[in-house]
Amino acid sequence: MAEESKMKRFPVSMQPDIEALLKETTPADFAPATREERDDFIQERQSVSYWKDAWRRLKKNVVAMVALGVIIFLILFAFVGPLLIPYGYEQFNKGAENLYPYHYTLEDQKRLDAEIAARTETEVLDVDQMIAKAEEEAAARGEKLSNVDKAKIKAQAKVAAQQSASAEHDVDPNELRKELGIKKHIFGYSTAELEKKAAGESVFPHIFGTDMYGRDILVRVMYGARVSMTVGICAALLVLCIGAVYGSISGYCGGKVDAVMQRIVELIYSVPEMLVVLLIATALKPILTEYVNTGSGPLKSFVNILGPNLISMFIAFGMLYWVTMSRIIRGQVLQLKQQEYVTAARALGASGGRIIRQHLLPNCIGQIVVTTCLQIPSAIFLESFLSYLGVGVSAPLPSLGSMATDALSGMYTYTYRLIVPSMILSIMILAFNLFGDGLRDALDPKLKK
Amino acid sequence: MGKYFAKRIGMACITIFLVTCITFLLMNAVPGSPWLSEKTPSAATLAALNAKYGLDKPVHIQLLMYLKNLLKGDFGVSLKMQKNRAVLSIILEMFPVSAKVGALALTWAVLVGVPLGCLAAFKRGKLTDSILRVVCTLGISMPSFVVASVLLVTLAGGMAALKLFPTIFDPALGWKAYVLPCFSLGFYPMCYTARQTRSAMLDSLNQEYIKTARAKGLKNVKIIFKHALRNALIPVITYLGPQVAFTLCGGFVVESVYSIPGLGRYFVQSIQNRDYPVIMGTTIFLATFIILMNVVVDFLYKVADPRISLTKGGD
Repeated sequence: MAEESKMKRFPVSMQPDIEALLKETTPADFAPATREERDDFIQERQSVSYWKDAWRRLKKNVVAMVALGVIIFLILFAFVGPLLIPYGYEQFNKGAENLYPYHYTLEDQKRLDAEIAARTETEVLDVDQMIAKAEEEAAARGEKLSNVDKAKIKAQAKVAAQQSASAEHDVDPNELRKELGIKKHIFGYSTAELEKKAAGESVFPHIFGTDMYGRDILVRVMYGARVSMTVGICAALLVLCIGAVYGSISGYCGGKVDAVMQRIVELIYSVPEMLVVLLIATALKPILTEYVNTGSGPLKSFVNILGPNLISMFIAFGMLYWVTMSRIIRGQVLQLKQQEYVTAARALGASGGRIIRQHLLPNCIGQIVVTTCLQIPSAIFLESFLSYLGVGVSAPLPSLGSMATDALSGMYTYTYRLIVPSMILSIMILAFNLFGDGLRDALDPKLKK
Repeated sequence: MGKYFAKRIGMACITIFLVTCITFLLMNAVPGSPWLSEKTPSAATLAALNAKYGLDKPVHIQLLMYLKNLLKGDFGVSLKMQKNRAVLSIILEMFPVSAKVGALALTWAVLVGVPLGCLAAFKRGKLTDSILRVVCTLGISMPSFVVASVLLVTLAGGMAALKLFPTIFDPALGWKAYVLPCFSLGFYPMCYTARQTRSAMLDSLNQEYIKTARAKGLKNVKIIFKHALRNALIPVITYLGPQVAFTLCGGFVVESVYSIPGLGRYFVQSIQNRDYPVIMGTTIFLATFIILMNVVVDFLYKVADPRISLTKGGD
């Protein structure tokens, strides 16, 4: 029997020698764990929640994290930025019209003016002087100057004067600056502001220059970004609400209800959305404006705070773009409602609304978050498009799209006016798109491609 | 099959009818009238004008009259922009201009987008894939007016040395006139198509039959373009169907930027001018086109993948 209990071990076996181990243990090893030890153990084995897991995956995605950083920066830029800058978006800064985003120092400007004056100094003498000179010459030769000759001299003088005048225009300040070695300094200042600055006052620069009315472009871009983000986020939330309610009801009820609701979705799908959004936005704006002027109640003040422009924009968006969201949620609900926990909830007597709210929607939260996040850039896209065509946000409130339209007239001379809003807009949409892609990968690893 | 298409066409007619009604009501909700201009006409003139064009009647009667005329193929006459000219003849004049630019734009978008998507899927995770991914995401992040106006500034006269293309569209200049508008119009669809193709290709490259094809020793080109691409084309076709209608009717923005006398620009102008019959005519034209393209798309599904059953899937 002793041979059986002490089994022969293969010499190089990796199996732990239990008996040898047991011999080494003391009763102290089997003592109950202290509280600290137990807490440590729980800490180490803590279950990872859905969001924590997603966040962990998202953190590894460099592109998505950079995009998130850019989004946070843009939010600060749009909502905190205008507080830091002493100019308003409708403030006409007199004497600071058409500033470039760079300036020349006062000394350089003086040097340039002096140089231009020197170059274009009229070498042409006065007409009367010329005639007097010619008369003198003629008298010296013993002749008398005829009226015809005088007229000839006058005509010559005129042509010469014209030539010198056009020569004055020909002096290219840019070329001259190059010759004189005058350098551009960043940020735009008007001459008056430079003088103030020289006098020791602190003047806030026009970082991106100003437009034709002297409005600071940086502030306008900030407000434009604010408008874009508000429209994007509100429209996405509106789409989420309509889409979630519609999709989950359609999916949960099934049967005839589903069939009818899906026909409606198909109808909206085949409507030319750009056209209808354009029409809705144009039609709603005056109606809402009138409502603000005549209506009453809390809804009125709500409309007033956001402005009829913005509201008509995201109503137009919300009315047509919820179909995609509702399709996605319907698909998810159709799958989920077959699960046992739904049957269990129904057996316990839960109402349809409760099952949808408590059981079905929380289980498709990943899809919902991703779709909402990708809805934001498309709303921003549409807003800029409408504003560009002149039916979106209306003056004086700036929008990135309408700023780009305004810039078209002076496109070649003041290129920065077109480039700055366009860049900010593109970067904003890009950041939201990249972040949405990253979020999709993080929330649904199966989809990762 | 026949029954299915009959059903589809029935649905299409209902949709067109609804779009007509919605547009008509929305349009009438927009304040302002086509007669507003610098010189406001007298009240008597206004009443006479309204009576002449039937604008003095209640909205629902106007709608009924319009629908009745529509059934006869009469889209009405323009009220303001090209006074008293038939809307149908305006549309038929503008559409070819837009369609030519749009067709060229979509052609390059598909011819470049689909192969790029295949390339990205094939080189998945490599540098090529990353670069293409960034470029395509950037492409779908830039509104067309940004692309169009930046191109205009850089290549059409911004820098003196680089005045390669005309700033104003003029068909007399030949191919040069088409380069910039077509590029800006097609850039977004190109990037979108490439992204769609890539993700669909990744799906189909993981299928068993691709492994079989590879095991048989087929060349990569044949595997990708003959076996994988065919299945991957379904989402691309879905996207391109309505897009064809949209692009052929003209990008509103691109046509405005390059002053192309096309349908898209005309539509925007007609909204600004409250030229009701033109708005209606253009909307119905475009809606019909889009709905028609959706039916064509369904048909193309069957061509791309004979396994798809329309009667089951479409219901």
